[in-house]
Amino acid sequence: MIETFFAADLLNSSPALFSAFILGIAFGWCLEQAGFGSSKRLTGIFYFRDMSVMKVMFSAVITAMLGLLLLSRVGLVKPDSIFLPETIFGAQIIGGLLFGFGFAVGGWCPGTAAVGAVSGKFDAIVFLIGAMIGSMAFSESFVWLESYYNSGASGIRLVYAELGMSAGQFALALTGVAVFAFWISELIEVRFNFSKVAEKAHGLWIFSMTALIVATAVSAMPARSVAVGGRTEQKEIMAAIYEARDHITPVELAREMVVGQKKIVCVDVRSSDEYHEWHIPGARNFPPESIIAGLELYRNHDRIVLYSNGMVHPAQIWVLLKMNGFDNAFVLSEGLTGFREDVLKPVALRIEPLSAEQKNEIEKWRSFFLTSANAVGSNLYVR
Amino acid sequence: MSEENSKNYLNPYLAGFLLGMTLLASFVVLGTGLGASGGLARISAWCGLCVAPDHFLKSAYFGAWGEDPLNYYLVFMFAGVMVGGFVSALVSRRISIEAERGLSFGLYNRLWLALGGGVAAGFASRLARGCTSGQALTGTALMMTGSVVFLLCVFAGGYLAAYFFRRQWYD
Repeated sequence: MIETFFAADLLNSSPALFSAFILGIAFGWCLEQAGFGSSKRLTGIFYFRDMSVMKVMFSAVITAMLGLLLLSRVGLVKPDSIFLPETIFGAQIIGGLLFGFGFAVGGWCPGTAAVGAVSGKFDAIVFLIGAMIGSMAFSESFVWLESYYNSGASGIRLVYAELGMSAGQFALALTGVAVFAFWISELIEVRFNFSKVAEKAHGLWIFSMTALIVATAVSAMPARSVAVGGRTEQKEIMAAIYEARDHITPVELAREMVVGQKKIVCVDVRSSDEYHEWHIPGARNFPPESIIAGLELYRNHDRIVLYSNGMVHPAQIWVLLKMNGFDNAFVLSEGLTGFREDVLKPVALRIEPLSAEQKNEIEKWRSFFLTSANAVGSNLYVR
Repeated sequence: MSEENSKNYLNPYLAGFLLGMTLLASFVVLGTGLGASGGLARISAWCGLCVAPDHFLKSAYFGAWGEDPLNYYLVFMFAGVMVGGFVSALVSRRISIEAERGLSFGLYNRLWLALGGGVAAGFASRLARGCTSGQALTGTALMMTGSVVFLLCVFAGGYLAAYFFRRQWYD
């Protein structure tokens, strides 16, 4: 099992910084060798003249994706030892469109501009200065942008789960799409002269076949969910139930989330419609068939908290998780109904007498779960 | 293509495979993917701190990086990219002082577009939490929904803009 600097929380240690420098050298070397020190070659993709960006990016994506999947299938890499970028739909759609504009107009993106700059392209230096100005402009206007920055925040979302596929199936499908894109790219470059492509694409045959074979093999390998965690004995499950180690109260959950020291993931087991209407900030929602696979990522979290409106549905999934060796699964007692009542309900609406301290804490919870930008549907209880 | 041969670039699929292996190494060793814009933004924050320390330490975004924004793995990676790119360009004899553009397109026009494009890309990479490396490449390899959406939007934005700016590359 490989322990990453990220998992060990040592990303700022000297060995990690040194490793990042070495990886950067390899990264820069690859970009330059691919010809990305030339803005004309980079932007060629936007004019269908030079499709290298498509070829290089897509080969890199499938190589890393299949490699990582293989390493996790043989148990060398734990899924949660890798940092996963969150999905923030609004920010990533607007950011993507604006970034694409900057890429096509400026002729560079940040990494390739660094390579261009050291190969003597002075427009790349100008682009880098522009990007620094743009970053600073973002920081200066952050106060006004903050709500856009978090608009559509949806936590960690896996694209294969959205499509109702397993990771292996998606990897195989994406590899197929990549191989198709490679051949189309070759055809585009010679204006669909088929004999010319056949002449120059010897290497591509081998690469395409290898990628498809590896993808098929990897997708056929069983996920290690059960093997890694092992099955929990019935006796131990019963003991957990009787000793009440199976649930967490809304107040306990709210306190732990506000403090933020424990790695907690909430899992909303309601329908996706209900989920989109409102959910606990950061909560995940899976299609029923992929819930166990999806939770694999959180096996080493301190808590996986299952909730629904009530408790029956989460409790059933809790047993299933337990049997699959998840020792960190909990059911939110009283469900969302209890969470709304005990945590989110405004002080003014509460009947019981409260001390100033308690009122203070409730206000803190409300601003954490409702007014913060990550709250979806924050109109609930907000007056 | 003829230009490809004359510049002696590496086979794009081999280059992509090696880039993918670098990304995989980064996942396994660091536990994070590759990134470029994050390092650049921190260099920008550092420049800000040199000029107006009080202002930038208090700012909501750069301020969160503290007094020493350069002490971060992405800054070291960015430095590595420059070293690796330089060595590669040197041994492949591809260093030339120039700004590529269409024959009839003025140098200053090209530089203004590079600056404007840079500002847009720098701003957008902060909003989207990454650029072509940190989101499009890394996030797609991790099969993350937001990163795939970002990648698709980059190409949508690029193709929309490219048509209007084609004169800078082709006559």
